[in-house]
Amino acid sequence: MKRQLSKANFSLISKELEHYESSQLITGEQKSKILEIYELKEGLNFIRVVVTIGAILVGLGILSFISSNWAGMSHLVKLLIIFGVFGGVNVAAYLLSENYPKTGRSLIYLGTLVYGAGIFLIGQMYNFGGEFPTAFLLWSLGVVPMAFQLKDKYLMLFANILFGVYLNGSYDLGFPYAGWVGVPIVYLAFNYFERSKLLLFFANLTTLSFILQITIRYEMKGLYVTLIFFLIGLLMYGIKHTLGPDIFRVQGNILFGVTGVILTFPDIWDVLVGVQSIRLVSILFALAFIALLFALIRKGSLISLIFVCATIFRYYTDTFAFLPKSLFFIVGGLLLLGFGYYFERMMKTSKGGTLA
Amino acid sequence: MTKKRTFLLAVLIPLLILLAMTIKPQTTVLFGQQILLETKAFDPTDLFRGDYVAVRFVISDIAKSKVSLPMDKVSNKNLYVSLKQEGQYYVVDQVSETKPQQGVYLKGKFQDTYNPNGEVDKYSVDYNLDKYFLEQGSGKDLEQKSRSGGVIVTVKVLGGYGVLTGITTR
Repeated sequence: MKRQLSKANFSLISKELEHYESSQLITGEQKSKILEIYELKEGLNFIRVVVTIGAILVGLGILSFISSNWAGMSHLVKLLIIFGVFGGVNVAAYLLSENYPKTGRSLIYLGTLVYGAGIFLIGQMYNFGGEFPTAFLLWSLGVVPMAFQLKDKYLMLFANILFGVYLNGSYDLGFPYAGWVGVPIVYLAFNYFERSKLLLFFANLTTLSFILQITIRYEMKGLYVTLIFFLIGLLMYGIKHTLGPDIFRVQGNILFGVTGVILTFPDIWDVLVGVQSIRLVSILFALAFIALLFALIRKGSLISLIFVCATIFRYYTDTFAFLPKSLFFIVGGLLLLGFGYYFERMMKTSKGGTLA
Repeated sequence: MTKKRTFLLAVLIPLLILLAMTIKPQTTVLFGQQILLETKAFDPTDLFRGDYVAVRFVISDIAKSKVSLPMDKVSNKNLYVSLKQEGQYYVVDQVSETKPQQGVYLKGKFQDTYNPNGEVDKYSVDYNLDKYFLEQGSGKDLEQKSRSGGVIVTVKVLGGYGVLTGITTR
C-alpha cells in the first residue's frame, strides 16, 4: 500500500527531491522511485461537501417541521410521510451508489436525519414525558447498522455523538445501562473503521462520560470523582500502547490538567482532611502538580504549559490580600528564573541534553 | 449475506425501532381506560419536539400519611399509585409496591419533598406524563387560561402506563 500524504506535504517532498537531484545527491530515476511510494490523500471534495450540506439542510428542515407540530396535518399522515421519505431516500441512495456515489451517500445522511425526526414525532404524538434522552439512544441505535454496512466513519461519528448526548442527558432516567454495550461498540467501530483517529477521540470522550455517570450514580464525593479522573488522565498520558497513542496522550494531558487545577482549590479536600488542613493539602498538591507539569514541559508537552499558566492565574485571582500574593509570586518567579539559569548553564558546560 | 441484504437490514432496523416505539403507547390509546386529571400548566419549548404545555398533576403530590410503606421503600423507588374516581376526576387511593390486581393505577417514581422545617411530609411523584405537545404558538392561550382556572388533562391508562391524549381548560 502506498503511503498517503496531504497535498502540502507531497509538494514539499517533491520540491526537496528536485533540490537533491539538482545538487546531484540522487538521480532522476531515484527521485521518481521515491515519489512513487506516495499517493495523495483524498482531501475535501467540493461536490461531497455541497451534497452533504444539502442533505443536512433538508434533514434539519424536516426536524424543524416536526417540531412546529403543524396542526394542518394529522400525526399519522406525518408518520407515513416520515416512513415514505426514509424508505425513498434509502432506495434512491442504493440506486445512485454505483454511478453517483457522493449524491447517494448524502441521501443516506438525509435518511438518518429523517429517522431522527420520526423518533421525535412519535415522542410528540404520544406526549412522552421527561427529557427524552432515550430518543438519542434510539437514534444512535438506528444509525450504527448503516455506518457499519457502508463503513462510513462520519455516520459512526454521528452515532457516537448521539450516544454521548444520551449518556449525558439520562440523569433523571436511572442508570444508563446501554453504556455497558455502547462503550465496547464505539471501540469496536474504531478498530473496524481503519483506526480513524477522529473515532478514537470521540470513543474516549464517550467512555469518560460513562465513567462520570457511574460516579454520579454512586453519589461519589467531588474530591474522589476529580481524583479518579486525574488518575485516568495520568494513565491515558503515560501508558504506552499502539492504539492511537497520540490521541490518548492529548486527551490524558487535558484531563489531568483540568482536574489538577480543580484539585488546587482547598474546599474540595474537606471530605478527606480536617477543615484546618485543607489549605495545606491543596498547596502541597499544587506544588507536586506544578513539578509534574514542568517535568512534562521539559519533555515537550505544550499543553502542560497551558495548565501551568492556568494554575498561576487561578492563584492570582484567588485572593485580594495583595501583599502576601506579591511575595508569593516574586519568590516563585525568582525560583523559576534561577532554575532556568542553572539548567541553561548546565547544558552549556556539558553540551548534552535536549530541552524540547 | 450479500451487500444488498445487509443494506436492506440497515434500512429496516431504524424502521422497526420507529414501529416498536409506537406499540406500547398506541395499544394504551386504543385499549386503555380514559381518566381525567386536574393540573396546572405553563408553556416552554423543546428543541426537537417543539412547543408543549408542561403539566403537573394534583396526583403528583402525595401526602406521606397516604403511604403506608416505610420511607426507605418509597424514596427514589418506582411504585404503583391506585386511583379512584371522585366526582369528575381521579384522585389517589393508595400506594403499593406490587402491581394492583384491579382498578386504575399508574406507575411513578417517588421523590421526597421537604417542607420549610426540613421534614419530609409529602412525596413528589413523576409519572413521565409532564408534557403535552401543541402546534407552535398555540400554548400561550392555554397557559393564560390555566392561571385563572386550571387545566384538565385526559389520560389513557393501561397496565400502569399512561398516555396524555387531550388537554382542556375548566
